[in-house]
Amino acid sequence: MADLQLDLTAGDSATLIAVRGEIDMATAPQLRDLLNRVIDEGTLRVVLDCCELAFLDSSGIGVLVAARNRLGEDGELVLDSPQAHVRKVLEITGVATHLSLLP
Amino acid sequence: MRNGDRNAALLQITAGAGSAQFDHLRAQLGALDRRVTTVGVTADERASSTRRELTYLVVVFTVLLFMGTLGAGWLIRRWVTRPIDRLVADVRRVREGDRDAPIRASGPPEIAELGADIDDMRRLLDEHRIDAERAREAIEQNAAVVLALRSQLEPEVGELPDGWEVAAQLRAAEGVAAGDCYDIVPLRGDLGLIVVDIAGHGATEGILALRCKELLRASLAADVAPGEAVSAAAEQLGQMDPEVFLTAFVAVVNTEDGSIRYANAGHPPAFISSDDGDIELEPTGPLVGPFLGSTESRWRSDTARMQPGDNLCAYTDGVIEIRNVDSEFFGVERLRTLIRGSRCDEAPAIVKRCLDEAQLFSDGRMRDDATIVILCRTAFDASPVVRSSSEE
Repeated sequence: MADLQLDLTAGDSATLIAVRGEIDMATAPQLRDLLNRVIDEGTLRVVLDCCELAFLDSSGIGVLVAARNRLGEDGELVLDSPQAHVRKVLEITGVATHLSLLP
Repeated sequence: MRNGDRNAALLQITAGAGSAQFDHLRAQLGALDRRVTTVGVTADERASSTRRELTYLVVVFTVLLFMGTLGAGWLIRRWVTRPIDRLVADVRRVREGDRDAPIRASGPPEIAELGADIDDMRRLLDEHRIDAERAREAIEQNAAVVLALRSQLEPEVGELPDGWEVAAQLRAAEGVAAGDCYDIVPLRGDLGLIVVDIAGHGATEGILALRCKELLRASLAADVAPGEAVSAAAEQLGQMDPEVFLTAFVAVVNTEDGSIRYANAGHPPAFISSDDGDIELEPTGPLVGPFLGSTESRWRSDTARMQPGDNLCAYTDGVIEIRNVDSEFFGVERLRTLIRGSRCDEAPAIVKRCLDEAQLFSDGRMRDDATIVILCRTAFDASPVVRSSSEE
């Protein structure tokens, strides 16, 4: 089973989550639970530090899309420094246009 | 005298004192002897009495012990052995198939408690048995439905015009129901090609995939362009669960000239493997899912063309995300290399080779459903080459 490590840092204007490992069917619930908790606490801007995210499958995309929708029009879900193959998955699926991708 | 005073002794003998003293001494000895005899007789009588008492006690104790043992045995039988025998008989009756036979909770508290616990366990097991039987009946009823669903997800491919071959295969990650599906649809001289991938895998996803496929198929049959067919399907499917979405590749191939109109809704790019290299049929819109403002999403149709000898490969991400024991992905490059190396093969052989190689590469575990569709244009055709232009 793939491992996923999530480290949360709450800030004034945004909540930062460092994502390390893989997001797949087995680990996606971890990310879903954390994002739901953060969003329920009222955070409007969530930044996922993705430089150590090694893999993202359709389960993970589903979690990102759902989180983006939960944040609403005033919210923002930022993916910071995703690796090329993760970025490509987001671009192919068209999810990239609904999120904020930082280089 | 004791001191050897001989004269004093003679004086006493002469006076007869010695005889008197001797008589006195003898009288005392006689009295002592009588007394000793009396004491001895008394002691003998006491010893005899004690012996009798002891014998009596031993007999009484033995009788009491015997009676006590009998009593204890009777009590043990009544309070322990019989309840255990009853418990064993009850349990055996249940074991032999009389599942409604109660386990009696009788006897001393510990055994009664054990009997009650066993009876609770019997009732619980019986409830689970009933549940399991219902589940088995449900599975038996559903098996036919699931198999029918599977056959619809992976339909038989009919005859194609000369110069064209098509083959496809779907390998489900679990069981037989999958979240992938494909279809090859004859369309009055054209050929419709549909590949749909629902996020997740299983019967529920299979039903959604089937719905989507039927919507797309109906649109293509009505001569609707692939991009509009995806839009119509997205509209018909309506609001899905927050994390449910699908990707789709939809193409209409003109079997006369090899021209293709296609739409790619967030799906891994299908590609045409040709002498000049691979041509990717890139996304023409996002995945179909619960985006904010999804009503504004539109899917356009693009065009491409297959030349004689070209192979078109459409696949789902389950193929390229297969991993080996080192967690390395099978990847699209391996797939392309395989297709390039199979250009002289027939379509079914190419599909089989790709999936077999992927399976061989894998660590033995399918994480997602995997589908490959291969369309081969085998006959010579002198139509002009037009590759991948947008048809807004």
